[in-house]
Amino acid sequence: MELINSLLGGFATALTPANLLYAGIGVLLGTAIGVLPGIGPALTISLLLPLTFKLDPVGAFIMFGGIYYGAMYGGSTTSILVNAPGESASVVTAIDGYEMAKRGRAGAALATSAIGSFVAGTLATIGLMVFATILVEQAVKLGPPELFAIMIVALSAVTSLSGTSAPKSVFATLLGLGLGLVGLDNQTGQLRLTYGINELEEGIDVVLGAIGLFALSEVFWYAATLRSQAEHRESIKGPVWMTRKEFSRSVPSWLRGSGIGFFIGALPGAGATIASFISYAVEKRVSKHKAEFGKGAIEGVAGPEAANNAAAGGHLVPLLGLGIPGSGTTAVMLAAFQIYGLQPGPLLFTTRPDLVWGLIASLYLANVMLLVLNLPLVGIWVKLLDIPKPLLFAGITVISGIGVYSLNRNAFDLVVVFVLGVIGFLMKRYDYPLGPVILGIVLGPLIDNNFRRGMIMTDGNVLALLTRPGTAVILAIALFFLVLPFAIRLYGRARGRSDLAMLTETEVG
Amino acid sequence: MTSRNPDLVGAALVAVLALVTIAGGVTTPDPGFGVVSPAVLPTIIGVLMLVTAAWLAVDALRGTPPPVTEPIDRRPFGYTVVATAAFLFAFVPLGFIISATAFLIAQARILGSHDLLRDSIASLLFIAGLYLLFVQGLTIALPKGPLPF
Repeated sequence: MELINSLLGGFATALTPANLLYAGIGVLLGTAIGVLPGIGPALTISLLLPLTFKLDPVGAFIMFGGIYYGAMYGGSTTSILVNAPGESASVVTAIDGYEMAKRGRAGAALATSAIGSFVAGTLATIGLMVFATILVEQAVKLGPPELFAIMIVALSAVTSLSGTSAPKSVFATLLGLGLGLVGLDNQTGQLRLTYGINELEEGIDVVLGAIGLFALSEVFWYAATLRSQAEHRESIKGPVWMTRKEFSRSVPSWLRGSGIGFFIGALPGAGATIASFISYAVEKRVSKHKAEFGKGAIEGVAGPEAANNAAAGGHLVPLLGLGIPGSGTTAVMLAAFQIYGLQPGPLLFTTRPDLVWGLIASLYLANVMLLVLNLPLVGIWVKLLDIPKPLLFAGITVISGIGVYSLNRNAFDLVVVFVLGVIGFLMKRYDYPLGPVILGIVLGPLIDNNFRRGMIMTDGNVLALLTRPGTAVILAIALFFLVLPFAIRLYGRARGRSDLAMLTETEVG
Repeated sequence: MTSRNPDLVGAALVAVLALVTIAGGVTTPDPGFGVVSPAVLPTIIGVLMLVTAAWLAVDALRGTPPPVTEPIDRRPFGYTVVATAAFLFAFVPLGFIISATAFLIAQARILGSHDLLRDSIASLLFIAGLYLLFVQGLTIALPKGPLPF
């Protein structure tokens, strides 16, 4: 009953004209960036942060929620029509979605994707509401040692499930942690890793990391691969709808994808991309039409698209319940909370219920808006792909400059973001994943803080810290994540399963 | 040719970064209060980076195939990096309007456009629109440079 009352309170907040407008702007922007290749939700939220400085935080987070859900909706459009996924989480959708489009069934692929996203988004928001509330009740019992261990789980998961090479993923995580520790140590007031550069005393903001690593590196990537940018686009023939048979084949896939996506997404560090790959593997295994997979099976679109949307809802569980981000996008959202002087986690549910429940209620509304925007209006979204790419990427650079400068009005930040852009380009070119860097920047200071506070509790005894019952169990989970990719690869090799190898070679965004 | 393996070059760069991090860690002053010195975590990160560099090198030397890289379109890439650097470095001294308009015109040319007049007008209009949105609409101050606004 308390849950229902809280949700009704949330709807009262979300349904004000101003907040409805922010939700609308969020879903429009989210769908647009989902359609456009190379721009993701983490980057968009980073770029929009300066725009929201003057807003009430409730409105800002309602907009961010819309962007996050919208990006997952929009990503499928380019996967299906161009075979160039707008988001990494839609990569697997292209396998069967593009094949369906080539056979003149683009309308059905887009419909199953949009309705699947709606079903998954709604179920995941219900899951978010229930599980975040349960998590909050438990989270108040957690001390610094347990929080430290949970952050290690997040880092282990994102390290082990990102990229194609274990040492490269580990390096990416360590780089992020190192960048996160630059600046003033808030426990002792000492400067760390600043090398005498005064401008580094304030540290390296995660927003700078996201803009440098995701935006500028993408601009450099576009310029470096200019000659290979040609694309072939399939047209939408007929209505954006499914036959009765396609609909009945889609329903179980939507439900399975929703469950897989939500629970994978709720694990700290595991992303929407991984959820969509697992969903595809499951659909292929349980389908009565196995031979159609790879040639245009509708389940191969319905399941993964539901999974990536549900994962976005799942990601918000550790963020809202524990204050720990599990993906690049939620890491940037955590930074946004901090800019507003808010700390997500158990306390936020009591200190700012209007914000938490307003955000959750707005996610239900965003889903309805997205269904309306994506089913009948998909033809308009496709036209976004006509924007000349040089204009688009030059515009991203200019808006990046504004975003970086307006953060602290500090010219040195522009230098930092340029350097990070070059580093991001080189990492991308040589297969070093970027997601763990962003997560590391956010988690670095939090891990340091909780570890040192935990050590105070155990009088400096590391063993006592690591063997507390709760901490030991959580660290065992971290170990499981570290071993998981090796086990999957060995199993995949032994059984000749290339899809399993692919699972361990994805980018967590 | 292992000497040109990008993963070996990467391992060397990671090792250098590891040493820089360790140096930064061990030179962090310990104020003497608290159970764990602020130097500990940066030093651990640096040491783990060094281990990772060795891991990368061993992987490369044991024959793990290097990443498949497409040849870079050197001209547009090089000019884009230079133009971006120039834009970001000139953002404050020249102001937003001048630096961003010049960058957009240059970038359009770098990426294949040949209509200077059209690009100039479009760039100026786009930047003016952004300026109005941020400065007038959202009251976010952007650097003016030599211009009076």
